[in-house]
Amino acid sequence: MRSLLAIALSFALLHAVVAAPEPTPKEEPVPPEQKGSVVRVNSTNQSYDFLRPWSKEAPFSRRGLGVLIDGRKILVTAELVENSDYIELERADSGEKSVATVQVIDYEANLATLSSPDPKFLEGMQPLQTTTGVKTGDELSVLQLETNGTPVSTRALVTSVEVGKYALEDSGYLMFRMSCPLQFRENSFTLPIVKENRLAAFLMRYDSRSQTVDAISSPVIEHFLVEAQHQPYKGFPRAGIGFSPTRDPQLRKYMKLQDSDGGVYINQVDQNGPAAKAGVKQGDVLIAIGDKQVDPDGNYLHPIYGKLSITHLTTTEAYCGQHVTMTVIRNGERKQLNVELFRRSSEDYVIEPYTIGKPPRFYILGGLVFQELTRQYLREWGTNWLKDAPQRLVYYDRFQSDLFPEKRKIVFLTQILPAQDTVGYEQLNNLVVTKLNGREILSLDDFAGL
Amino acid sequence: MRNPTGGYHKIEFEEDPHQIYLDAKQVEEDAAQLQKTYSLPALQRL
Repeated sequence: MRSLLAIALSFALLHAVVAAPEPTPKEEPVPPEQKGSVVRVNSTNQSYDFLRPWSKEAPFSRRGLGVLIDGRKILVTAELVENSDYIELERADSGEKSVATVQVIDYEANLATLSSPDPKFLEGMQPLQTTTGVKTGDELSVLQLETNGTPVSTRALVTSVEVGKYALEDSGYLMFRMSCPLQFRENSFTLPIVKENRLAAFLMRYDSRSQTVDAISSPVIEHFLVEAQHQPYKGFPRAGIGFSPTRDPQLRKYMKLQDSDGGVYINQVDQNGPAAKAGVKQGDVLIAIGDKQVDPDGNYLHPIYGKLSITHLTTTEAYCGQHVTMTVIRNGERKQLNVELFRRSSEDYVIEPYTIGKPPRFYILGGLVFQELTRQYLREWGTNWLKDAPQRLVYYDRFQSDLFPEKRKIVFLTQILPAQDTVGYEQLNNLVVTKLNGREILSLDDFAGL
Repeated sequence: MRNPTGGYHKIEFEEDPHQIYLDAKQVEEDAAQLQKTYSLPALQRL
C-alpha cells in the first residue's frame, strides 16, 4: 500500500513538473544598430593586500561587456577594471583583440572609460548615444553575447527609480531597479542596457534568485561622460550633509516647523564640505534646495521620476563648481545659504573612504608595521567590517569629521613581525600612534621624519 | 627616523601599553635580516 502511494505521488510530482515548465527568458535578436556597439572586456585585476601592505592579493579575472560611446572610447563599470594589471578588448564580430588602458575612472559613480592604442581596432563599430527618458514601467533590453559572438537581448522591466548604493558604502546615486530573467553567459560581470537603440543603463548587480537588476542610470552615465571630457576630472559633487526625517510631531513643534514646511533635520555636516563652507550647521532644518521643496523624508518631486531623494539634486543634477541655494530653518528663522558644490577627493579625508588602484603606505620599524588608517584596511574584515573590524578604528572612521576637523592622518601599528626587537610585543596590533620620540604624529611622513 | 632619545625610539600609543622603546642602533642593524626573513621588498612605502 505504501509503495502504491509512493508511485502515485511520483506521478503527481512528474505531472506538476511537466505542467509547469521552467519559464524561458524573454530573449530576442539584437537590432542591427546595436550589434556593432558592444565589445568584450577582459580584465586581469590584482588588488593590494592592506593587511600585508608590501604585497598584492592573488590576481583574478573579470569579464564584462563595454559600449562604444564615441569614435574612440569604451564605457564600462569601474568595478570591472579596478586594480587592473591588464585589460583586453575583444570584438564580438571578428574576435579580434586589442590591449586597452583606463582613460578616466570614477570609483564612486562606478564608471570608467577605456581606450585602445590601435586607432583601427574600433573602426566600423557604431557608437551608442545615451537616453535619459527612462521611467518606472518601461521595458528595456539587457545586451549579452553568446560564446560565438552573437548578440542577444533580454527584456527588463523597470520596477523603480531611486537613489541607492553603488559600489562603495557612501556613494548614493540614481539607480534603475529592474525585473529581468537573465541567463548566465560569459562576460556578464557588467552589461549594457538599452532603450530604443540608446544606452539607458549599465548592469551593476544581478540577483539570480529574485531576478532583479540594479543598474547605473543614464543620468549618472551622462554626468560622468560630460565630466570625463575635462581634465582634470572633477567627479560628482556632494553637499556634505547627513539628514534624518522630521516626521516626529514633537520634533517639528520643537523646531518651530509649520506643517507646510516639510524639511529634513541636518544631523551631520562634513566640516570641510561645501555645506559647512556655506554656513550650514548641524541642527538646521533643510526645507528647500533651489526651487525644489524638501519633504519630511528628504525627497523632492522630480518631473520624470516622481519622489526622489534630494541627494540626486546635489550629486548628479548639479556639477562641481555650480552654486545651489539651500533654505534652512534655524531657531525658527529662515535662512538662505549659497552653497558652491565640489567633490572632496578620497585623499582629502582623514581616513580615506577608498584606496583603489594605488598601493597602501607603510613603514616598518624593527618588526613593527605602521600604516595610515584607511577604510580599505577596515574592509579587510569582510562585508561585515562595521561589526568585525577593530571598533576603535571603525569609530574613528565613522566620526572622523567631528573628531578630526584638522588636516591629518591616523597612523597606527597594524601588526608585529616577530623579530629580536619585538620580543614581548608580538600580540600588539591596531594601536593608534600619538607620538614618536616626543613629536606628535599626524601622518606617516611625520613618522618617517620626512 | 629622527632624534632617538638616549639611543632609543620612544613610540607612544593611545592605548595599552601606551609606550614602546626600541634600541635605535639594534633596529638599524637588524633591518636587513628582517627584510630577508619576511621577504619584504622594502621596509617602507611613502
